[in-house]
Amino acid sequence: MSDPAPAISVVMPVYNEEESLPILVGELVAAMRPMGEPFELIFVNDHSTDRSLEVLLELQRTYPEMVVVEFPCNFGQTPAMAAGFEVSQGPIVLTLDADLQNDPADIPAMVERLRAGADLVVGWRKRREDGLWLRRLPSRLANRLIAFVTGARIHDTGCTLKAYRRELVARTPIYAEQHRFLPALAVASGARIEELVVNHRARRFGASKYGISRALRVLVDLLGVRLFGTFLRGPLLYFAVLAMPFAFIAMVLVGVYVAGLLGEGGAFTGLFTIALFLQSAVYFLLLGLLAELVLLLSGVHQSRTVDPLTSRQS
Amino acid sequence: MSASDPVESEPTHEEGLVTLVVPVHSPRADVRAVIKAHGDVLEAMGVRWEAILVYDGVQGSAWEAGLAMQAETQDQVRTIGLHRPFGAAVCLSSAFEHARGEQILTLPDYVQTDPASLQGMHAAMEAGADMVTGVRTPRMDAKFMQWQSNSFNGILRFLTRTPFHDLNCGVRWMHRGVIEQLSIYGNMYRYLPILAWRRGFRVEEVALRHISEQPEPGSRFPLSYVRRLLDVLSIVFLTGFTHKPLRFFGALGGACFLLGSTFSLWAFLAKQITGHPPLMQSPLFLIGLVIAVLGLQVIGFGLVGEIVVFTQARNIREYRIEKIHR
Repeated sequence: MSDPAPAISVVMPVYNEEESLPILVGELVAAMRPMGEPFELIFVNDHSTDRSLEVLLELQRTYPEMVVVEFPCNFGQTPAMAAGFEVSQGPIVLTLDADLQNDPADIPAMVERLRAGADLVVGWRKRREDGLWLRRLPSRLANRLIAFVTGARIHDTGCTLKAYRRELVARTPIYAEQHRFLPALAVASGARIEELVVNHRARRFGASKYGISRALRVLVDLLGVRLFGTFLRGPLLYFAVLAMPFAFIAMVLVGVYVAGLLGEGGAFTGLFTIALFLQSAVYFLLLGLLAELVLLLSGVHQSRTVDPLTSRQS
Repeated sequence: MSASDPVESEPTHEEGLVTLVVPVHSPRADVRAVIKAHGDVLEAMGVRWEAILVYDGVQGSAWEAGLAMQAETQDQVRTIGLHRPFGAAVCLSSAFEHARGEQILTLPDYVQTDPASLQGMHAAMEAGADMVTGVRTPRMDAKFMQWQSNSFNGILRFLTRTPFHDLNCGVRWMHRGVIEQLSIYGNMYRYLPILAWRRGFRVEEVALRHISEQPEPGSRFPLSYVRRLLDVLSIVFLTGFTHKPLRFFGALGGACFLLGSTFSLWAFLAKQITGHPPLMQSPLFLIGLVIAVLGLQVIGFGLVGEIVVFTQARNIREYRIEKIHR
């Protein structure tokens, strides 16, 4: 019910955070009202099983800047963020964890960095307050790996506190736990990313909702994101690289076969293996062609080579 | 879609009006009995209704009966004729386009369950359900068919983690919003409750007294099993991995690759230790190689799937907002 259009939107997925919410809203308002700009606080309630929704609606009566989005069932963190983005109106969008691990006091600095020319500002929890073995070490390994594979040099991809320019949100698809790789996708499409050291606080209420069991899924997803980074330059190339080892092994085997080094009874196996690997090389090339076709027909390629960020407002 | 429709589409939907949608698959179907039996019960309950008969490339006496009813009832019953059989999904979607009611009730083209049982469905809709799906109890068909149907539903309950007991029952009552939010094609109409459930709609089951059963159209003995199997595969894939094909194919391919590599490595080690059989004559080595390469190909396939999803990402909405409080 904030009358002027909001300049800053803060999006927070909420799942069973009834104790944290009053404190969080208080801190957010304390941090953002001094900025002197209209803002909105978007809480996406991911069908909490506790009293989160009631608490939110109650708080909303005191703080008209709040927008509460209700999900009919538990869809997950990424859909909650996507819904928040959809509802948000401000030219600057921030995401934040609702569990008080992020400090709302960091918001003004992030907004400032964004206004100074960045497209995306990523929080970096330099001093983390979690257990070393269960959270910090796996997280550090994962971050190194993601940075290495995707080429987005970011220390802390798991930090929810991020500030986006609206154009970036509008054109980067967010689905299927993709938010983790958003910086990588943004880098791939030529966005300017900056890091800002932010405060990290230990969890005060409730238990962590994320374990380390997701490691394998993240790894597999990573393979896909790597693909997105590369296929902007053409998926055929990517698949040709995959085909190369097969073609190479087939070639070597042909050499071995011709030189007669396969020994007694090896001729059949040799020919069979050559056929298998040649077939695979051809298969990967064909997949690459198929991918080219899909990309061509979708028009994504075209819209991405023209950078929409050139039309940025000051 | 080559549907010849003698009716004009109406853009406005009436609150409280229920549209009965009956896809007609058999030229001998007694559509009059179906409409009369259910219409009478609805009227007795004080529910206003209209009906749309969709003829799936069917003519004969059923078509004539439909046209006659349309004339008699002054368009309370309307007909849509498809030029050739397109299947239930096309029937339903062309009927939805023309339905005037805010609620839709789909029925099979024969009296499958006791019309009086509609009362329970109506009560559940009134209580706030978005969709109510029928469960035939007690079943009247052959024991073997029941066993088959139960195991099919059981497998799907387990694989999709949904609570539905009878996906083959054609009697379903829903708000049109459910249909508008879901895209159905091919065989997917059968799994509408599952898809709606995954979208966060309130889907409930109501027991209906089973009266008679007719075989489904176009399902002959060996093919029907193949189709069911493919249905299970696609519904599990669509509900679980639509947006992350690489997870599905990556896991499958990765497992193949590991298995194959283990075989080949085993053969290699056996040769190193015992010197027998020579690697090039070991079937285990070859089989392992083939399986490992297959695994890599499956992973590559998943990558292409990932590209398809990514390029269509602007059409993806994984959520449904119930309400926005501003």
